[in-house]
Amino acid sequence: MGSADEFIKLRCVSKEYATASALRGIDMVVEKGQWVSVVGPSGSGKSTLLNIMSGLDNPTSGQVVIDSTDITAMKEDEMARFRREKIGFVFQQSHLIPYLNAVENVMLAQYFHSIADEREAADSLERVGMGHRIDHKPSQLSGGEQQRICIARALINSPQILLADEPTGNLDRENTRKILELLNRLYSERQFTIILVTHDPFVAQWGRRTITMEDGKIIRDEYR
Amino acid sequence: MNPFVAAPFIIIFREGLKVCIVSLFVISFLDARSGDKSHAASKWTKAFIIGLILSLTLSVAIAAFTIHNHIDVREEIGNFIAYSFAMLYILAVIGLYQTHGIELLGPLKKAGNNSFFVTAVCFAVPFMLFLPENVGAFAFLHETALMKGNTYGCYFSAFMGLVLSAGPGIPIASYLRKKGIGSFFDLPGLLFSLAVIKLIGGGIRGFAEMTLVSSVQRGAMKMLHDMIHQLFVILMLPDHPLLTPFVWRFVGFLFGSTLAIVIALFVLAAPLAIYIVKTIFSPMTGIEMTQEGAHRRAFIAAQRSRRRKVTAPVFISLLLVFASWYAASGERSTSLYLPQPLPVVSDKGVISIPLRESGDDLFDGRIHKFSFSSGSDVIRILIVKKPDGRLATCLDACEICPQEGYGQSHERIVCLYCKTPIPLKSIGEPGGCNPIPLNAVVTDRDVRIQASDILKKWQDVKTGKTKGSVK
Ligand SMILES: Nc1ncnc2c1ncn2[C@@H]1O[C@H](COP(=O)(O)OP(=O)(O)OP(=O)(O)O)[C@@H](O)[C@H]1O
Ligand SMILES: [Mg+2]
Repeated sequence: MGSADEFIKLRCVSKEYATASALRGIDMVVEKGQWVSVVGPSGSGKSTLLNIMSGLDNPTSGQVVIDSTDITAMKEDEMARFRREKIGFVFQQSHLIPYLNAVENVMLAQYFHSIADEREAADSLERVGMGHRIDHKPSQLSGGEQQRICIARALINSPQILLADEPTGNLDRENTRKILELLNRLYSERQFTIILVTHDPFVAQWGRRTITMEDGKIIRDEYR
Repeated sequence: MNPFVAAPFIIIFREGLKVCIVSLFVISFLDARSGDKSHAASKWTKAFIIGLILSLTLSVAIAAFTIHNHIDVREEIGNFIAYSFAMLYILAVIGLYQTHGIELLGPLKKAGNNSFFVTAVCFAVPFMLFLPENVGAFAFLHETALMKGNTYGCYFSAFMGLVLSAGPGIPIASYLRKKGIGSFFDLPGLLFSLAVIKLIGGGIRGFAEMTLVSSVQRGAMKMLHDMIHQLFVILMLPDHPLLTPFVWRFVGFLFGSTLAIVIALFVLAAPLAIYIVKTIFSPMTGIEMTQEGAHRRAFIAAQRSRRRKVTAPVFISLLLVFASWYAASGERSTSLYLPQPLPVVSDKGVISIPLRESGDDLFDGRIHKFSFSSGSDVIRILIVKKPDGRLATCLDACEICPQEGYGQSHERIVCLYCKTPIPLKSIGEPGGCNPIPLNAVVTDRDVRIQASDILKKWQDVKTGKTKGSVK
């Protein structure tokens, strides 16, 4: 186990694209169990940062260490296993499978992790307040309801880290508040680490720490 | 001189492959077992490899010694292969019980935690796995070289066999070892796999000589045969109402290969099948410890995947048992030698059959049949040279089966009705499935048999009153 105060550690992480530099030497440390909001203007590299932390994308240079493991040195299949055991994702678009119903979407995540367990999946939907919608297809659900299912899906395998990229980007203020209340409840129950990207200050204030990015760099790092 | 001789090539090629596969299995098993004790694992692997090299050296030495001193070890080698196979199989069954919590060998389990003991076992195992086979292979090689008078060709071909098996075999094996093939074995699974490699690995005469399947079958047949024979000897009171020829017709089934095959296959396949069922369906242990959702699922998934993995080699072994039995049964049914009976007549109550006549030699090791007509009956006589050099003269019929007679397969005759194989050396002894012996006098020119003796015994056979020839 890595030390709790250096649970996620980025050292001089850069990401260059042919046309642009998305990240320019990011250094940052996240403690275990922290809720970190990442804000910044469009194109400042927030999503890129998240993708690199999850191993979905490789940095051009630099090192990402999670729980004492250097994930930039991992092989493809080790990385996939690491991701499926340690990380949950929520995106702006729900990425639910349209022809599977709510509980089946959650069970799919269980299946990729280990084995499917319908009861446990249904329980998890109950806990996000979607117990009455388990056999609905995504198209039969509102945006807020879909995000709840995404949260249930992201947390079903007990990840240590939840990475959320604009999870409320498509929702109105009321639904945004409900989703954040839900996240906050689950967070205080289970103590996972949250890194949440947003450009909405209302969303950002739910975290205890806010990192502000601009032009591929961290320009501010504040605790509240 | 021809630089290539097929037989030594094939034999050495096959043995080379076997050594590669078996070593791969054992070494990767040790790898997977090591866990964090990888230092111990490398020690065990070293012990195994040293044992392997010594066992190969020893087999060359034994083979050279026996050939040099004209000792025929074929029979002993066959037995040793069969014994080591049986031992592996029994150990695997014991291991199977141990795995499922039935401690047949509690002390041995403790010994299994003793690194020195395990090292010693690793050293000894190659001798059990390879010694008899390789003595056989090398003896065969020496023998072929002598017989063909082509020492260079034979050794060269054998060397090519070694190169072609070990050449690709060693890199492939070390690749698979790195790939962690060891996780496919638990101890009983490993032992079963090694046993089945022995089973289908063949004897020393040919690549596909399925010696052991037929051995198990012969063993089962012999056991059944002896049991039933004893029973009938006990039951054979004079004129027992049950002992009609009609009843005899069914007795053949008990003596026959059909039942023996069922028993042999059962003996071979049942432990494998039990292993598979047990491994897949036995309740998971340790699950109570990990109650929480994702961890629980991960635990179950890992157990299931391990179960699937370790049953895979055993399942393949099971298929191989059936496949090899199938192949062996094909081989058996096609290879019977069946000569046409030559008609003979009696002269003053005596039938005389010349020892050698028009290129036909009673001492040539093959069976010879003669037919003798009496009234409406055609009585067949069977003569063959036994391994001790003497002639056996019998009716071509036994006490038990309908009188269909015998065919020959190498060192055995086989009852055409019940397919019981009988070694040539026991022909001429009375009883059971043996052909009924006749009182014959062998002179330096012919074999003389009293017609009355033939007629009486044939009459007994026909009516089922064969007790006269049962001791
Ligand atoms: N695949 C790519 N190829 C080339 N450039 C890319 C690629 N992905 C991102 N970029 C560039 O990298 C920079 C950072 O992109 P990123 O998606 O991380 O921004 P962001 O902060 O998430 O913005 P938004 O708030 O709009 O989602 C942008 O200039 C973008 O154009
Ligand atoms: Mg973005």
